[in-house]
Amino acid sequence: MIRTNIENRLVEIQDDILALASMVEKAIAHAIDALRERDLEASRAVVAFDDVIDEKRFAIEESCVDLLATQQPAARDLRWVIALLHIAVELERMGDYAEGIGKISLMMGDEPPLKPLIDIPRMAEMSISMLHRSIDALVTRDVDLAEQVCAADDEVDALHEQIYNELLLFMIKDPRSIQRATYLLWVTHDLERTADRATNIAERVIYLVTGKMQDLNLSKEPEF
Amino acid sequence: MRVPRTLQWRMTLVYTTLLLLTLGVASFYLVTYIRSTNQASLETRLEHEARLVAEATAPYFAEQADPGALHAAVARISTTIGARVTLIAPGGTVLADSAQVPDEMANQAVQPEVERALNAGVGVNTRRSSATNEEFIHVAVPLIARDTVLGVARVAAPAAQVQESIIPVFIGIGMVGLAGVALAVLVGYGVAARTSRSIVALTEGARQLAAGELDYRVQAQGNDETQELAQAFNRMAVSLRDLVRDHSLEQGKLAAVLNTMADGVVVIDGNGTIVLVNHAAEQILDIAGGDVLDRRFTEIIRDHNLLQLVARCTERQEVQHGEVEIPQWRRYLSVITTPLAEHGDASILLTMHDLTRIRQVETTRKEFVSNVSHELRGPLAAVKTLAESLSSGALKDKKRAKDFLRRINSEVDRMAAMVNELMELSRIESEQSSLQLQPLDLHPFLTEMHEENEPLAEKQEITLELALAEHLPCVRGDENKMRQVFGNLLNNAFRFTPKDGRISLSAQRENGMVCVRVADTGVGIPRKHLPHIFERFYKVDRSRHSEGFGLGLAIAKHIVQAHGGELHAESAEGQGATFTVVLPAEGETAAN
Repeated sequence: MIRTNIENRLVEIQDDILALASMVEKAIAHAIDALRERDLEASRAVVAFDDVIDEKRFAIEESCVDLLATQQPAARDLRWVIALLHIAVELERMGDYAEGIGKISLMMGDEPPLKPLIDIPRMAEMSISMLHRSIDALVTRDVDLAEQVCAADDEVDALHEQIYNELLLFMIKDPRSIQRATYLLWVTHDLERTADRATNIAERVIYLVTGKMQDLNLSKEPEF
Repeated sequence: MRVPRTLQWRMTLVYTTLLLLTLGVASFYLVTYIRSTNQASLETRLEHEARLVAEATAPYFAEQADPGALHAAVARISTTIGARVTLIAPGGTVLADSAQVPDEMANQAVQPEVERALNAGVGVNTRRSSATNEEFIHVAVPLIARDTVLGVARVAAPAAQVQESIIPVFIGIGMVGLAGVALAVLVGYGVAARTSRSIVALTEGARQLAAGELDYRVQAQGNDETQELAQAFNRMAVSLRDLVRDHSLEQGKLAAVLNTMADGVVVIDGNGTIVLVNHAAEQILDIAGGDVLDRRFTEIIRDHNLLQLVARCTERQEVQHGEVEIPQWRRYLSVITTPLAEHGDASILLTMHDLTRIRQVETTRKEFVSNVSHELRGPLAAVKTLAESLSSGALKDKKRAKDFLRRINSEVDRMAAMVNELMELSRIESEQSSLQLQPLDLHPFLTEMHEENEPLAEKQEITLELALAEHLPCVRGDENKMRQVFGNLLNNAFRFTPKDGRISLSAQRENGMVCVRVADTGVGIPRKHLPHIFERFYKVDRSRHSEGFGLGLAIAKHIVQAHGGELHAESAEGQGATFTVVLPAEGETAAN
């Protein structure tokens, strides 16, 4: 396949997006592992790693702006560069959630978690899988896959609600557990937002392929 | 029209052209020669006839005879010689003519032949007759009698005679030409066909060779250069086949090596496209089944640490080494990226070694050490406390002191038992423990095991069943070790089976192996614990500290494996558990 100069540049930027996505996936996975295993050293590493993610995001943003300014891409290429720009921002925010989980783990310190972490790692796994598949959809320009990612958000939301109710019950039963329950609540919230942002990436992919902007995150809860 | 550029066509064309050219030149000279000869002989003939006419008509002039007689004579002569005869007075007046009335004719003095006849004795001229518009050759001679020029006698014949005499020559040449051309076409076509058949055969051979038909050989025809060419072609085909065979053999070896090696190998070209991936790499990177060749590495692998290694290798053109964790599959890889400079296009060779197992072993070892220390810490702490209590006064209270000593003794026994079990396990694992292998008849052996455990079953109100198939084959085994295995399994069964439960000990032959099953109706093993129950220190219920060390099943499994057999567990939570010992049969059936 012969690519134009603009396309070559766009492929390079997209490669950087893939690397950034991989960093974010690892950051989330490590954040949850560290939380579960109460490994504060690992949590500190996750928090520190966010700087690398931020740096990468700025590098991508700069490449995009540079491309827009110097090459004046049109039509499909323009959609491409705009989609990549948005995805970079989404990924960076997801990185922030990983950092947030790392910070919560540090705040919890030596305290044991309120309950064994089973559903939260499952939720993290689902969110990471959504992120991975949304990036798969970007690589293969697969609208169907992107729509599947958007649909999967409902499962994460359901799990979120279940954990939320469970933690609420803990707090009602024993007000002394409020502090520890709140930590876990933040973690689930961060994961829920991560899944939402994966949906946003999938929507960007649909926009990139079809040129249509649509909000597929139908069951979006009010943000809090 | 485009001339077809086949050899046959061209050769025929050349032959024909050459033939026609030669024939053309030859016939040109021939016709010119024949025409001039014929013309000369006609002129000579006409001159002789003119002189005869002059001779014959001279008398009529002498007597001043009447024109009628002259006319008659002229007409007669004309008929005789078959030519036009004219008699002209020296002044040019026509005296008599065999074709026209003289008076109607113009003065002939101006005609060149008449003029020359009078001056030079003979005159020849060819011209078109104004009357008949036919070309005639005129020959005139003076009519002399007694040295007096009486007039001019002229004879004329159609020049067409000369042309007509050439026609047969033309026809002859034409016939020869036609025959020649036909022959040229035939011969040219034939010769060309012969040559071109060889060439067509060679072309077909080359085409077959190009299509990979390396066993195709060209049939050599004739004994000219084309045959040599065909032989050379066949020799080339042979060496080509050998070359290809050697090459594919090498390739096969390489592919076999690549696909059987445990390390993953991926080659990426300068554009970042995957050009080679071996079986192990597909497994390690979880890309098996997908068609990843010719796709971009970045899009398939999607791991920034790996990508970074590749990028650094491309940039610096030197070997890079790194350890990469792929969180999706919990894999740890040791990766080496090598620039393949000799490919000239900045290809990168990736070798991946899966460290996951090594990491797991490391983790297991760490866990083992911490488990052993944990297991020893409890009894040690108890001994320490009891000893301290004794030294700080309890020694005086005889009754308490006795109790404390008994407890110290039992804690030390516990530790000793554990250390013994650990040593046993380590011996079996390192295969240093020598098995006293001898034919073991399972029938009496299992019956004995059953009898030994009957009292315990009665005490716990559990039914202990024995179901042995008849004609059980012997196994080769160490009776003491086997006793340990089944003792362990039965012990576990008793421990986890509640009152009124049932434990069955059964044995039968299956596919040349002997299967001994210990099944209970106890609490069973939850699914998530099932894969781990043979691990050292693994306990399904960690809270039940006092009940063993979690080493029994590990030891049992190792003993069975040392016998060349297998130990499996099947269970579901609340549904009891079944442990199956599979041992190779000894061949001959036990004589019951």
